[in-house]
Amino acid sequence: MSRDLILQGISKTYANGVTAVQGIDLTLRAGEFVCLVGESGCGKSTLLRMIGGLEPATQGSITSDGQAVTGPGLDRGMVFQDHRLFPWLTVEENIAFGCGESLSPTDKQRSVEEHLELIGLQSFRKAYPHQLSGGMKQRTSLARALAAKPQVLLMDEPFGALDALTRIHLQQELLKLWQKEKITVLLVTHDIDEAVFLADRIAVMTPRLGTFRQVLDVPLARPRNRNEEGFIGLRKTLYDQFF
Amino acid sequence: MEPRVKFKNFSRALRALLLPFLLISLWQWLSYLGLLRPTLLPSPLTITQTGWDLLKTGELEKHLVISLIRVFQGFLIGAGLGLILGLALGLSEKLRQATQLLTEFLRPIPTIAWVPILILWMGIDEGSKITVIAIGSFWPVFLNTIQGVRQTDPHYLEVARVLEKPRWVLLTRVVLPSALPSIFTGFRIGMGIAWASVVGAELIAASSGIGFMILYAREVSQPDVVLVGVAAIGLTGLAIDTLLQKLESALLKWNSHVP
Ligand SMILES: Nc1ncnc2c1ncn2[C@@H]1O[C@H](COP(=O)(O)OP(=O)(O)OP(=O)(O)O)[C@@H](O)[C@H]1O
Ligand SMILES: [Mg+2]
Repeated sequence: MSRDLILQGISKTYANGVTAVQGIDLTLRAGEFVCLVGESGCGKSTLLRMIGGLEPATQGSITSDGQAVTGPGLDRGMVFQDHRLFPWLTVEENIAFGCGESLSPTDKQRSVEEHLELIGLQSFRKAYPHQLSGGMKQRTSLARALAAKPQVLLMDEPFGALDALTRIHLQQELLKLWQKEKITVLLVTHDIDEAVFLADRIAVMTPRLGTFRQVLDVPLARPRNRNEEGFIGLRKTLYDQFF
Repeated sequence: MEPRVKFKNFSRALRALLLPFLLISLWQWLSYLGLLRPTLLPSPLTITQTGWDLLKTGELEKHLVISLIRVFQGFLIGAGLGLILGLALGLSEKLRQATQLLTEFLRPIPTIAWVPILILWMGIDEGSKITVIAIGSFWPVFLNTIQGVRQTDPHYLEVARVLEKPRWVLLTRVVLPSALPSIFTGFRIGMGIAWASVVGAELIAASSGIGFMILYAREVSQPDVVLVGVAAIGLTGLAIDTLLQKLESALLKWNSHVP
């Protein structure tokens, strides 16, 4: 059984007749980090939501962990741009919400502890979301998704609403988490720099057509340096696709 | 507390008390000039004196406590039913459709209009009085609960879906907390109506309670006692609402900062 995530001929036409995604083929190998870049409205969120099982595909099939995707599943976690933390739960309660229902209270507590440590927010465990900075909220949201132990993490512009410095910090932290947890990540972003910094491969979407223009390998070793020649060259290649 | 905050609270209290103080002073002054007939509108001083006497004999407290017990019993039933039915209808579109005509027909009926029919059904005992209060407090809780449940942000529901949460977790950890501010508004309005309808309920041949005290005093022409009763209803209502407000901000700490 393959632990890869396989998309075959995925298309989506909404009830209002808008075709957001058309004939997408992509295989995410287990443990791979793939970024999805493209202009606003090209269908990135739609594609991600279909993989997450929140939106049915009009055509094609999605296979995760050897199983056909027909709805949401704990094998696929999601992180949204608007952190979506529950304002009535504290940081640790929000993270505990991510834990599986079958966990015993002690196992749950242990998992919360572990994930609090992972995002470095132990001293904010009792804080409510409104008492956190934007970066802390997004970290907590990430921890909640990870607490469910997904194999694939789907992230829709998770750092889009953050300032540039916080974003760079969180990118580095995300890479560490990804290496530690050995999960597959599919991350949607507008930020070409972010994609080159994070990804093993970058899928570039065409505006309005809902298709891939290109899927690019990123042959740079980690940790990556944003000012190094290879990085700059790749960034330029990507920019040229848009402008 | 910081001195500046203290001062702010102080000046706010001063501003709130200014208008009542001026009105009462004017009233007292007009009474003093003999412009108000004491048999129709006794002076504030007379009313205060009567109120004090009634307190000393324990008469006022006795009636108040009896009314309060009725209000709490009625509220418990009315708000409880409102909450349960509101949750059920808020969650189920089908149930809402099935009950829509009935609720829209029943809702505009004033609480007081139920009094004669309740006497017919239940006699003039405690039952009918408590039922009137229950009906009065049912509607705001019921309607606000439905609205609160329906207004749950679909983004939060999506989070629960992605995490494959069972229905009861969805209900207790997502829907209910998110509806709680709205439900609390229902509680406060419902309690206000319950307390306001106590006089109506005690119209049903009561022999005790603050409503009875007022009605009886009117029959024996004691306008000062009538007004003491009216003031007691107002002040108690204010006290209950303040308590509920305190309870709300203690329970919903997270809500004070949510936009
Ligand atoms: N629920 C929906 N119903 C109808 N059309 C939709 C719906 N959601 C998205 N669309 C349309 O599908 C297209 C793709 O939208 P999508 O949200 O996937 O784009 P995106 O690439 O995520 O954009 P952005 O970068 O701005 O988030 C758009 O034309 C949008 O108007
Ligand atoms: Mg999007």
